[in-house]
Amino acid sequence: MKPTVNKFTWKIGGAAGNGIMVTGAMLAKYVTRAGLWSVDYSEYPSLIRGGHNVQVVQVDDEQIFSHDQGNEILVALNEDTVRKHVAEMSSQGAIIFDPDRLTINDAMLGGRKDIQLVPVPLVKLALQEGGKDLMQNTVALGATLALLDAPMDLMDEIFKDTFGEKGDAVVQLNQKICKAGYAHVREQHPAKFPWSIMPKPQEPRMVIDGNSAIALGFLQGGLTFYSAYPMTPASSILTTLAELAPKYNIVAKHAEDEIAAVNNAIGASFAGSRAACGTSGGGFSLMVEGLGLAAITETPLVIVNAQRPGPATGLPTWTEQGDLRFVMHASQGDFPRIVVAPGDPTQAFTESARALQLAEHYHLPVIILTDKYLAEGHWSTPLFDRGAVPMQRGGFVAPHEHQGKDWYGRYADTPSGVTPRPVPGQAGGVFLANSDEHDQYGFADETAVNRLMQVAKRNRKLESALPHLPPRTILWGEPGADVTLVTWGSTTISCREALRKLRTAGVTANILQILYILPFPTEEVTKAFASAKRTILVETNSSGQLGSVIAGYTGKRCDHQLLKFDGRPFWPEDIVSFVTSLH
Amino acid sequence: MTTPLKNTDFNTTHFPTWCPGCGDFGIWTALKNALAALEMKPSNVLIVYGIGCSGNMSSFIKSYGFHGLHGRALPAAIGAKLANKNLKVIVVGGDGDGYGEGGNHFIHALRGNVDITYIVHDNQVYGLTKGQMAPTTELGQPTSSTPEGTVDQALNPVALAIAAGGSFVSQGFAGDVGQLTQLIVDAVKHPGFSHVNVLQPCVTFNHHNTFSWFFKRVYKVESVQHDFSNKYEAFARALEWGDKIPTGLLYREIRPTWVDRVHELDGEPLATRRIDTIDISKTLQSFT
Ligand SMILES: Cc1ncc(C[n+]2csc(CCOP(=O)(O)OP(=O)(O)O)c2C)c(N)n1
Ligand code: SF4
Repeated sequence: MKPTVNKFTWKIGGAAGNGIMVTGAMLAKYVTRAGLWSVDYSEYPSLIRGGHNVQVVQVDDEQIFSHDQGNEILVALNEDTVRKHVAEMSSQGAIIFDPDRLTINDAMLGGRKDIQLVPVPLVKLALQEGGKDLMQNTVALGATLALLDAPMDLMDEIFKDTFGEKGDAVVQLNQKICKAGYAHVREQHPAKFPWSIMPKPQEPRMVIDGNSAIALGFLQGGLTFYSAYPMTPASSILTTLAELAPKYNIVAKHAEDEIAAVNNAIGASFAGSRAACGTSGGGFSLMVEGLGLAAITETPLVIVNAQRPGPATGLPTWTEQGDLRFVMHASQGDFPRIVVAPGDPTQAFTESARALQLAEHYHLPVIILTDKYLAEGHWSTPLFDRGAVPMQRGGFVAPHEHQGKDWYGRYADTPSGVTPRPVPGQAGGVFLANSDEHDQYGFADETAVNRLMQVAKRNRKLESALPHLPPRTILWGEPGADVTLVTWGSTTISCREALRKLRTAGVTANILQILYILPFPTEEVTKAFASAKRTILVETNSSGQLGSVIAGYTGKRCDHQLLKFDGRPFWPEDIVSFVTSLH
Repeated sequence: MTTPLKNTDFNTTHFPTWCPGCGDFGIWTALKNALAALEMKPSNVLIVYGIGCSGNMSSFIKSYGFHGLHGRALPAAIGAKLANKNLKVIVVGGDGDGYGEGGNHFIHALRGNVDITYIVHDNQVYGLTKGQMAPTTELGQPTSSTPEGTVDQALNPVALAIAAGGSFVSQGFAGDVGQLTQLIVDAVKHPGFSHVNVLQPCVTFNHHNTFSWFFKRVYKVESVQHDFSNKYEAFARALEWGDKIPTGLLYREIRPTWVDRVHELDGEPLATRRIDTIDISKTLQSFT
């Protein structure tokens, strides 16, 4: 078999509690430092122990976006893993397993004779070197690197950077255990493995997940207050910010419930801090009344909704884009809002920073809509551009501008709809923020004239914000392609990978990503449809929500639709075979 | 020299729309008296209101105000206080609002001990929505939503507050403005979460717990040498209801507030921290 350099997929499977996630993260870091690109993705049931957990790391020479189903190295920590994943194995692929714990027979391999078995006494080696049995993963990592003929010193450095704070002993223990796995494979399996790693020089890149990107975007955006109630897949925004809180002097508050979380954030924002809250669809349902409160009191608010399949508890640890229409219209009443759906970690970072700024400057609620796939998947990513959105506070009135006044007309009509606000404590700025419809000072006012004025004023803020939004649609690939994939959010990632594969298959395709769902980019989408030859709607929900939104705003319908709603993201193959079947 | 503040400095151009004779007038007067006594200018205090007849006070008091959602005044107030720890924050709500709709927030506010003051208009009925059962409605009392009498045991807010870890738990009466004023002053001065449950006759929808009913029953705990630092004694008093109803400071304990415990809140308030000097490059580096 012809050797393949810098292109392979690695998968680890075991029961929950086996600590496999960390191992995949280390491998992803390794290949990224080696100048390659990785994506990793995990599947796990809603369990802390047991169940079947898998993590996949796919590696490529070129920038890669989402992984396909083939697999070259499988680390099987239990029998289940072999049975479930043997079918995906490439010919000559390897299964690394612990012969003291697992016997692999022909039946388990489904008769496959073209797979290399690589027994490594994972637990024994971990214990021998002075580690705990959970460190079998580190042995497996060493074994993996040996199979791939990859240099160990790069791994040593990663251990140093990752565990340095815990002391030299921890670093050395990891290095030793990893080397034990490496040496074992070197000695016992000198047979050639057709896949290998050859590091190449490059600018530093990160390995990062969508939730961390949002947390970092918030920090860059001047966030000082975040409140949330844990809910998969949004929880790690809270835990990441909580961990970073002492470094950045911010508050990450675990609230008693999501209703408290949203009202905490509204209160903090009202008092002048840049604030956000985050949850998944179930928690967002509870935040909905608060969303309207932010709108009518014109208090800046940023909410993250990391979607998972519903309704109700749904599939807690899986992915879906089923909340699009929900967030667009959530809460009673008719009021403006911004909805942004980032399609990769870089967009998640930039748009989260921007969300805080937009909310503050235009006194609007901004919803950041992601899903489990983006929230918890990891990608090799160029370092974020910290200056992408220059930060500047705005939307406030300086004390000298209203000095001597008894009451401040916080809700007085203005041409832009934005009435600069004082913060409580500021002399002379007294006003009432009122969830009842109100007059310019905030006093309840039910007259028709006032109602019309206030609604128009609030709506106008969205128009005022428009020039400060980035392009709301993104065209990936060449204009004039045979096929246009119309998509949003994390599905953009799957489409970008499909684009790479379609190119090899000789089909020209491009992607219309709708980044800002609200305010809906009607003109841009209409234009894009006019020049598209054939449009295919691609999203992970069962009713084609984006398709109906597009139809509502533009009157255009996609020629075809490809929907997936089994809780899994699109495999690029799904998209490629759909597109090629049309040709 | 500045002239001392007067009760009337906190009036707005709107005169209360409460029913004539409503206990809310007494609470309104006591709160304004307390603000004046505390020398808190209208621009130095934020009052967060729930939704109800009680929350309608938002239109009748001059200060920074936030008239939020039914049941959600506490979390909004806590957010505001954490964003600007130098701000004085007072919360005004009803019993349906705070013990029913927002009951969860009440319990956790008591635990968290954020330094704000919570004044509850306890009229044992829903006023604004016309006389339905409240969590504090006495067992068996007919209301518009329970015409045959309530079947749920009444909630005891002060006993609950002590049990949930309140650091300042008190009970006032809308018919004793002098005592209530002092309670509010003490509550605002208390370093931590202070709870003032106010027995408030609703003259329109509660014909059982009337002013005269209360006048026959309330007594001041100071008059019986109550030891408000003794949790067991406080709890026993808090449980009293019926022939004798205690008013005054029931329980107090000085313990660190939320802000004291969270070191990220040391120094400059969150709201005024600079955002143009933030440097996340080290954190980015940790992802490489
Ligand atoms: C989410 C929500 N549910 C219900 C209402 C309707 N509502 C307004 S005030 C109120 C009850 C008021 O009773 P209470 O809190 O005791 O205050 P009071 O009017 O007696 O002062 C209700 C149910 C609302 N505004 N919002
Ligand atoms: S309904 Fe009751 S609580 Fe409301 S204003 Fe009238 S008397 Fe007061």
